[in-house]
Amino acid sequence: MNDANNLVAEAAERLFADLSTPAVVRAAEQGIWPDALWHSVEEAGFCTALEPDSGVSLGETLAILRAAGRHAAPIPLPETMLARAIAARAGLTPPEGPLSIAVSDQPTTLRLEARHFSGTMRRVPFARQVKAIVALAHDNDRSMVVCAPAERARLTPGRNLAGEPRDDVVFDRLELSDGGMATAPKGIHEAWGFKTAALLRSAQMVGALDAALAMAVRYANERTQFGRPIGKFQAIQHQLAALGGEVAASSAMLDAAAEAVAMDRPSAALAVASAKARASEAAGIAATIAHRVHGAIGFTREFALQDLTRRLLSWRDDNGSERYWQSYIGHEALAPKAAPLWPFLSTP
Amino acid sequence: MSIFAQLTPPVLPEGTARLRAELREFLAESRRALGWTPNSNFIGVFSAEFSRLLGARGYLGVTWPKEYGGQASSALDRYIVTEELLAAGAPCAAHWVADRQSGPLLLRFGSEAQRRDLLPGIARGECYFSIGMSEPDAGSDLAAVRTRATRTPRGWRIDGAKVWTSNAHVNHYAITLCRTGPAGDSRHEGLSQFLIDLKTDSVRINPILNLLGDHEFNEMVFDGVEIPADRLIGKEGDGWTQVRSELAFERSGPERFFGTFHLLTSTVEAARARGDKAAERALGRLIVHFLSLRSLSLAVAGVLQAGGDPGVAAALVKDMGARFELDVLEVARDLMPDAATTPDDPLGRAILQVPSYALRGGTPEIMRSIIARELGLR
Ligand SMILES: Cc1cc2nc3c(=O)[nH]c(=O)nc-3n(C[C@H](O)[C@H](O)[C@H](O)COP(=O)(O)OP(=O)(O)OC[C@H]3O[C@@H](n4cnc5c(N)ncnc54)[C@H](O)[C@@H]3O)c2cc1C
Repeated sequence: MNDANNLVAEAAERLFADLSTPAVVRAAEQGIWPDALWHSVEEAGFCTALEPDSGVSLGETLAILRAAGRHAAPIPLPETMLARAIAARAGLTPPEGPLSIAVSDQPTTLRLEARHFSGTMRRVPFARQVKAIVALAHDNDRSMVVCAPAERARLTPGRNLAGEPRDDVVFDRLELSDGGMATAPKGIHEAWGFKTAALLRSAQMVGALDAALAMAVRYANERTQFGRPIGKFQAIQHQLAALGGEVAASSAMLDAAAEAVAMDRPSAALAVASAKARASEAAGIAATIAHRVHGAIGFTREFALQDLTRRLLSWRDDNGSERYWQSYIGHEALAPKAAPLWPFLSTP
Repeated sequence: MSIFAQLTPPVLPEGTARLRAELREFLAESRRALGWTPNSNFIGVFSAEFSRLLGARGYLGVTWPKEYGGQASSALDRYIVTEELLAAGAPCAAHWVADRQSGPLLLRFGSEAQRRDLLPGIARGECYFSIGMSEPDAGSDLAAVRTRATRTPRGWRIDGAKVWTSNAHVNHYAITLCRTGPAGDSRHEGLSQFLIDLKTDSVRINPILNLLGDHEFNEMVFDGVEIPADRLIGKEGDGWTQVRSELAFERSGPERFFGTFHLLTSTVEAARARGDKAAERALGRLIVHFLSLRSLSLAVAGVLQAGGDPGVAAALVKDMGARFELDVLEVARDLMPDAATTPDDPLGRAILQVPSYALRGGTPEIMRSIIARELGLR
């Protein structure tokens, strides 16, 4: 991370450390909206970070999300960022407050017919708590961006492994105003939305991975067995070193992806796919090691490790699991007209 | 935020694309002229001809000052040169160690005369070095070395033996770690490094055949070998600090995960040729790991460029890189099942050879111990 990113990272770190405490995270899982946290996040300008001309770079945006992930922030921050980015590009002005998005790698099944919006979206993050949901829809053969008020949806509540809302959402011939739909601008399509969502989720994951490492190291230095801190046992040291490797590789890959996307390099798609695949693979390894090192205490609701690991174990499957992105990359690399391997990998 | 989450690959400089293009043209040309077959083991194929061509083009001593024959370019340019050589599988054994660690060590700790004497030859691709660290009873525990250097009226006398000295039978010099005084409580005192001339000093070099039957490493026996005083490198007693700095260079490059790159390339080509959908995921995973390691390795180059200590980042790359190289073997076995049957086949050869890559330059256990120290566990 460069120095400018670091300033933003430090500000975000302070904000989330103060306001996304374990108590707030637990309460959120009981359905209590973290009002103070959300307001500070909005005030800090984090929600609009991805809008064109926000003055916030992609690197800084990802630094904010790393901090959010480090503190298991129970809010739809990447979703709001992406929803506002898409809406702004399409010339829409969504309502104030939290937003969500419906993104998929598949062609959208959502339909607009004479201003009436219909369709089903599965497992929309935080749908029950947001003001509006941004999605792509088809109006005959025109690709549209819609911003639909969430209160007008039929919701079937669901949760992920971390207890975060993942609700099924149905809109049934909802009439949209002019402010609720616009032609999708060039470059805004399903694959773009899906990849961008994957990149943002990767940043939260890297933050959570780093926090799980820190927690496990701290615990290993405190917990004493056989007359010494367990961190003095080489078996534990080497497990934690392996966890450090997972963090470092995921983080460096994320940084490389951020740079490729920010500079609009030809390698951007490959780099983003790799970032999500790497972080998703790291998630399972990290959760296993961090829990092993913590022993039984880490398996309690009380202890904060689970706030991180349950998220990692959920987020790894969001916007493409490691299996998904590995296959995607393999498919690209094996395509008959793909470049030979080294040029394929080294294209900037 | 731990430093583990702050190892960021630097943005590559403007001239990178041109440098790559030049290198690729040079490599294709030299391959036609010299007829080498690609081999991703950086120390696998010794070709003085190739190393001299490389030196003549200014691709050695890339970061060194011009007065010593270098190019005064950045560590990132050097990174690009290194990875292009590895990706092409060029025959790098002759110059690799000299360019990577012996030269930088001399630049940092050597006398002015040593630098003027040796660096230009290394940069021309004419002067080759071995690493004289390991001994029968000093492997991972390098401070246990027993080879002793004793002062004489005209210099030093060396007694003892080194083992696993790669290419000592073809190289010109070995930078050799010796005990010159009491070890002290830390065991790190009383060590010094010496320049041994493998062609003229009376050191005996005995081949040790490796498991493939190849002659790559050697035993170096010092039976009262007399050397002049000016062969001491740096300061007497500072050997531990110096050797650690040398090891940092030794571990810092992309060769720590490129060892099976050529095999990965052929595996991808084979799968592509037969339209093997089932191979997509396994190869995709390898690519993800390769690109992640490359990002981390670039971060190491960034640290070097900024004049920092790349120790932990390099240990991470080396530990994970060694595992990646073995992962490539397993996928290659899956996807080219008929290829692994004889030691003459590239895959068969790799299966026998690649496990040794994790050992040279420090084992994974030692890398993890370095990482654990950074984590504050030791
Ligand atoms: C192909 C090849 C080329 C080489 N070239 C050179 C060369 O040119 N010059 C040179 O000086 N050396 C060279 N070496 C030697 C290399 O540096 C050593 O092999 C390496 O440092 C390990 O030492 P060792 O082989 O004595 O193993 P040992 O140190 O005896 O280790 C054996 C096993 O014990 C483990 N172990 C040791 N200590 C610890 C510990 N504290 N905690 C946990 N586990 C531990 C190791 O990880 C390893 O698994 C080369 C080795 C190879 C394989």
